[in-house]
Amino acid sequence: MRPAFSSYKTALLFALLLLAVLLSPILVGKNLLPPREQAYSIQGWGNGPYPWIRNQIFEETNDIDIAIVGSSHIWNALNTPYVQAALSKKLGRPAVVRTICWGGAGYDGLYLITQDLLAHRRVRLLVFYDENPGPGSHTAALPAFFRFADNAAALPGLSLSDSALYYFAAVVGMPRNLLSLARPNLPAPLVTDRPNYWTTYASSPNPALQLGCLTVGKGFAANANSDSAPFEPFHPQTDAQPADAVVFAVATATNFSFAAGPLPAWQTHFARHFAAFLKAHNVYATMLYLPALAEARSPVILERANWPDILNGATLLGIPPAKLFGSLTDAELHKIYGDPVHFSANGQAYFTQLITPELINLYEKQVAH
Amino acid sequence: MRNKSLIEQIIYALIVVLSLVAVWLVLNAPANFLNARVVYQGF
Repeated sequence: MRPAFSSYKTALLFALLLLAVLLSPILVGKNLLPPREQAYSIQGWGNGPYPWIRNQIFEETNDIDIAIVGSSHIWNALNTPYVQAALSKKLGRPAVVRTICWGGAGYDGLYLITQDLLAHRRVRLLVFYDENPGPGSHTAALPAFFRFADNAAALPGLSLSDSALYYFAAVVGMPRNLLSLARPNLPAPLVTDRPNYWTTYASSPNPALQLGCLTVGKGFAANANSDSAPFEPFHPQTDAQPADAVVFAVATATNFSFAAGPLPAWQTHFARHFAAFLKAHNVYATMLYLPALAEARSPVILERANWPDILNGATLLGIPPAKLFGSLTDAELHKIYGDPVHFSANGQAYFTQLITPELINLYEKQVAH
Repeated sequence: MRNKSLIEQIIYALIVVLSLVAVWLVLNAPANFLNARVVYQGF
């Protein structure tokens, strides 16, 4: 059998190459990484409206009254122009409400993107939701966002396996980072002649034209691979009122049920980092419960954990699903949801008008003027 | 077949160890880290 290497020198070169690749996140310090903005410029629209997110973090500079941040659940749930109009009316001045959301839950992505947001813009109230059912559901764009030289300080406290996962994300992202240093990526335009990705994919207006939110104009699909039903405009008639919104407290605890099982350690780790970071920046945080279709008949708000405890006293707000949906039939619920976990345009309009008064109430109570 | 010198043995051992580390890192990572279509779709 021929030897793998013709000489020990070629073997040595191969060993050094392996070593350089594996150590690249450590060897490439901050000075050799491209500007952080490039982590966003390399993203397209498909994994989330990253051109819009980049624009909001790195180009816009004004203060944000309410930032709606998180993964697709909350991206689909709130109609940002409605919230902004309502807050402007209440404050008697033009308010600034922005949705900065993406596809794929994972508290790691929530922490890293919020870090970038708060490094560039002042946010008064941050409304977020990033719950997901999968224990291994890390933010898909982690190789772009986790850069060892920038984010290594977030690793202590994680297990070796979890730390290795983030380190490897930095290894995977390194070629793209070095390429971005040699040849910076231009940001994708927010508006083009061709329909936006989300117009084609979800029959939604371009998120960049509605303050970042996604309004899905498709009927119900049981899963990502099944066809959507035809979209029918639907205005639910229920007894639900804005006053049905509840904030978690001792007096309201009977409206909430927290599962006792442990969370994946990395989720708790990044959730705690996220909360600590918000506190350090004097940002008020409200976690907004969004029911999945499977929870629609629940009389209480179901969460995987006692989030106010994990999130260092952050507000947990929601409407118990049984009150939110009242006596709506299963067929009517399918007109509210675009799939089992996301609202369609019908659900977004319905939920937004019910929850907005309490969001404004929290803004007025929590944010010092 | 000639005997390998100590330096050669160290180099080959290093290659084996680094390869094992690389394989472990890959197997330890979620599949979507390596799926360029997911990470960079939708331009």
